Amino acid sequence: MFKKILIANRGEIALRIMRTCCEMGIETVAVYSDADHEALHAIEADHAVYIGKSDPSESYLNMNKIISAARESGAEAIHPGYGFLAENTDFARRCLQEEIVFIGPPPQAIHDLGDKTVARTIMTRSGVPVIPGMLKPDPDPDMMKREAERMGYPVVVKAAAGGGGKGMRIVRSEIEMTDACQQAASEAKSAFGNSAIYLEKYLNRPRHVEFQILSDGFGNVVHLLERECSIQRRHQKIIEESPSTALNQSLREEMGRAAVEAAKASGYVNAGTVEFLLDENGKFYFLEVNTRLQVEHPVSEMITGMDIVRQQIRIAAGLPLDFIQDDVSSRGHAIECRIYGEDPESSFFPSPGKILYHKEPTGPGIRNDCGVYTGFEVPVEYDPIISKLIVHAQDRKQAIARMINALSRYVVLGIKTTIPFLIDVLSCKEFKSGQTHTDFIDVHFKGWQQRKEDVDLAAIAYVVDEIFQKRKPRDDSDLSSGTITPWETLGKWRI
Amino acid sequence: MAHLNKGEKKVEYNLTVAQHPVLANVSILEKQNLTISVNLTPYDITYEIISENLIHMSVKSKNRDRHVNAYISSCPDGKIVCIHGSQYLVCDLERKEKKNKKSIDAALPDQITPPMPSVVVRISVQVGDFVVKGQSIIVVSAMKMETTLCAPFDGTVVKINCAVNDKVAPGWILAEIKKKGDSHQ
Repeated sequence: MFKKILIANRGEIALRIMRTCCEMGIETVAVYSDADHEALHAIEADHAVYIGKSDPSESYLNMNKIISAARESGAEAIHPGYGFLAENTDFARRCLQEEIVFIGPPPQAIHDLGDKTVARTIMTRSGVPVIPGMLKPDPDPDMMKREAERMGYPVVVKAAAGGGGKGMRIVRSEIEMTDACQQAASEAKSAFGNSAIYLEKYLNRPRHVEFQILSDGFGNVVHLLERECSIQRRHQKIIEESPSTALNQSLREEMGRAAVEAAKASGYVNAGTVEFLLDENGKFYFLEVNTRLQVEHPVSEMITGMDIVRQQIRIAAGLPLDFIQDDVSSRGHAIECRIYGEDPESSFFPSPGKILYHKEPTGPGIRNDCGVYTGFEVPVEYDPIISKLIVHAQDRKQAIARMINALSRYVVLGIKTTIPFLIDVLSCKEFKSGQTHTDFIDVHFKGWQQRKEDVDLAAIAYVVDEIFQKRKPRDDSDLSSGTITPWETLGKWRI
Repeated sequence: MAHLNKGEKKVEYNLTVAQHPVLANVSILEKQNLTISVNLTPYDITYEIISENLIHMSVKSKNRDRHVNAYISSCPDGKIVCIHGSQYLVCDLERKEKKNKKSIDAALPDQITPPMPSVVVRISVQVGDFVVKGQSIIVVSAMKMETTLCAPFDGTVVKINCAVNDKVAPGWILAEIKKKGDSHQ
């Protein structure tokens, strides 16, 4: 087993990975940029290496700096977390050349699955159902129009190198096609450095259901059941849960088999996620494989009792899986809410700044994977995730109640967060009845405004605080009038 | 700020709470007991200051009696109060007026300034360009999200005060536009 692992990431996920390393007796090496001098991951690791300026390209995305940090610190393996270099073929290849173990899939699998048209071809060959559409990218809008005519509108223009909703346009009729292709291609070019686009049939109100898989490179591939991730904003997940309310046991088994098949067909090793869209008739289609540890992996950990990061490290160290599919069972219900530093009242606009006060909820079945603390300045340069709040309970109803309660007790002052929005989503009857689709937020929560029921209480708290501040012998808030009081001139004294 | 009528221990606050106007009339009864009428709804309050950021209050109104934990912190615009997972920005209007007078031209709406600390990713125009209202002038990025700052009116770009990759903050004027037909400025 490794003695030392470098974690090429920051924030909550770096801390999450460190916890497992610590439990396994593995030393951790953090890397940090200018903005992260005082970040929790840099403080908590056994070692921390400074790697450069705040801009990601100068630090967390800079392969040379990460590799030399690993060399310097004597780390034998690198865990990339999610984002940054996690799905970068060149980085995985570079690690291989440098004889540092990359804790993730082999470069070829990252490469193949990173190109959606290649992935669709692999899946089609292995009999995994894919969304009807093209298997090769094409830049010609006229060709796209002919394809769209063949499969029927509406269709989606997608970036071959895409992800995260970038380079994606829904096209409802022929006249929209040329513009949509241009926009999608240019967005794809700037986001992924690759303008290749292709067409898929647009599915009406699908659900997003994904399967966690583990493959050990010895031919053993298992899945850790599904995660339902239909609640999304800007095509990015915000609430995930397991089990999905849309699956019965036979559909679950069928999709699980397809996920395992997808992993085998692509030569996948380590932990990964096979994403599917599920239509209104219960038909499922392959969407993509995420070749990394997912943000929402804790949901699967809660219901299966398994530590996915531990499995990743074991697999990377060349150990075979020590359990089989039949050993995987699900207990209770888990939900994850992503606490973002965003303003949900103005289209989830990022809200960076200093966290003036931070109090995490606690209690039975509550887990908070968090990367911040009171006094921490949330940097503008990176993803605005503050933490992931996860609950586990006996059934879905109890899990929802537990989550609402935990969110209500989660205090983050100084920046806007998604907490009040999440409370309202979990409290609404459509969520409670499990009617979750990818258009859920647009349909039920467009133009959402925070409830104002506690306005009076907030005014009262303000007044009480004002009165108290005035009474305080020494007033160091911005209320001080500027005149010197005896308390300030008296010097040190005791009663 | 507050009007304190001498001898009566009565205070009046003219507040906004999450942009709602709130008039609070406070009578201080004894050390940790007061009555407040919030927009004419009367409340009877006793409180404990648990810590710098936590006030525990017992709030009695006509038909309810509640125990409330309010988390609170000062910020440049006033105080942020968090109750039951919801955040409220509470501002004292009279204090705000004073502050505004000091920096009256800090953020006029007609200027091209970022809504939050961000990094300039693209400058779509050059000095001398004629632009129309709504046209993209500068694109800034914060936390992986891009925001386009658009021309507030038709006019000519007279100055650009930033470069690509500059870190910028609200209140900074990133580009100056001379309004069409406006010979001054």
